[in-house]
Amino acid sequence: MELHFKVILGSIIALMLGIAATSPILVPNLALTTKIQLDVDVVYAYFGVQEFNSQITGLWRNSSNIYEYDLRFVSYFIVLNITNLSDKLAIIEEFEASAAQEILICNGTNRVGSERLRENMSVSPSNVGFNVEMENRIVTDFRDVSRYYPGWSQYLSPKTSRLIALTGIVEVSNTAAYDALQSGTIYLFGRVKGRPLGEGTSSTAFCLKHVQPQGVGKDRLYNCVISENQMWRMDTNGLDVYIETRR
Amino acid sequence: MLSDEELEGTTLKVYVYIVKYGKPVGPREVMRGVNLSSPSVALRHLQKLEALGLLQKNSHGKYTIKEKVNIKGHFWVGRNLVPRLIFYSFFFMGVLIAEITILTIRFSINEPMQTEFLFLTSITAIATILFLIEGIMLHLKTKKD
Repeated sequence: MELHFKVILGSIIALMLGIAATSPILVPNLALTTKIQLDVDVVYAYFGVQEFNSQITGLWRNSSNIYEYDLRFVSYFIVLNITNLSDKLAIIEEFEASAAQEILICNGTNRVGSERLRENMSVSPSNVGFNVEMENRIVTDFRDVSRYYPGWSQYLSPKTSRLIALTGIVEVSNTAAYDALQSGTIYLFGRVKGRPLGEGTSSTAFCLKHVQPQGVGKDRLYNCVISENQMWRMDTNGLDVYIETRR
Repeated sequence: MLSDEELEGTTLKVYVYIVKYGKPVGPREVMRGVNLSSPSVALRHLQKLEALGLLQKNSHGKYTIKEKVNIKGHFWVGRNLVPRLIFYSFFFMGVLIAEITILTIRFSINEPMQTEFLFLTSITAIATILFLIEGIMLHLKTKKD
């Protein structure tokens, strides 16, 4: 009994010494398991539509192309509400906003979003993490802010939210996408990727909404955050936005 | 200082038995305890150990430990002789556990695996197994000799 106890004790000590000997590489790797929990929501999306006659001088692109159509430009202003749900200071690395007629997100074996894509498309392989499939895309805007971005602060304090806008203008040549924006329902997709300050691993949050934007003339609006007497004010960095009351 | 040749085989086994027994022993007890063919064989080994200065004979003709010496390749754990290789194998087992933990962490967060690290982990696994097998074999040999 004494032998067993002492041999077991000695073995455990030897085992611990072995683990301790690897601590210079083990500890930094253990720190990789530290993650933050982020949340994102698409709270506002405005799509301004402009159509140009392709016969107008200067916009004439290819007269020999029988499929030539009038030029349709969509300017967009999409606001993401990003929240740091964890108790650690987060560093925002990337964010993205998209709008399309059909969007399907494969998150591991989970599939959320477009029923049509789920039925008709084989997204493979289905078990390899985060994957987004779109059909009849209207807009996609992606920003990598992991490095220096003028005037932008990467940090997001614990338990706080931040409104970030993605703006730009795109030509929508896909007729189905354009029609979906004009008359149907569309999917809005938002994604944010961040990591904890110091050692840790990046984590990604996303949101997907199936919405019917309201018409403002030819423009389309989805709004669930701003009221009649409020307006957006954009920071000089071109990303952060704030809600202000109209005077 | 003893040479390895002086304390090996049955002599070593007799010595280990007496250390483990912890009480004065006679040739008959040694014969039974170590499975020797006769008390005279046991006595010869006891006398050899006495001559080496490891045992001393008391007034009742029984032998007791005079000095507990280090045996090459072994540790004394209390009154028991355990091969060092077993502890070495546990040391490498600790290293192996840490390396597997690192691999598991990296796999779970989709971090790239370095080929060199996989190679080193397999080397550690081989070292652990070899030390353990050699240690157990040495332990059994000390018991059987």
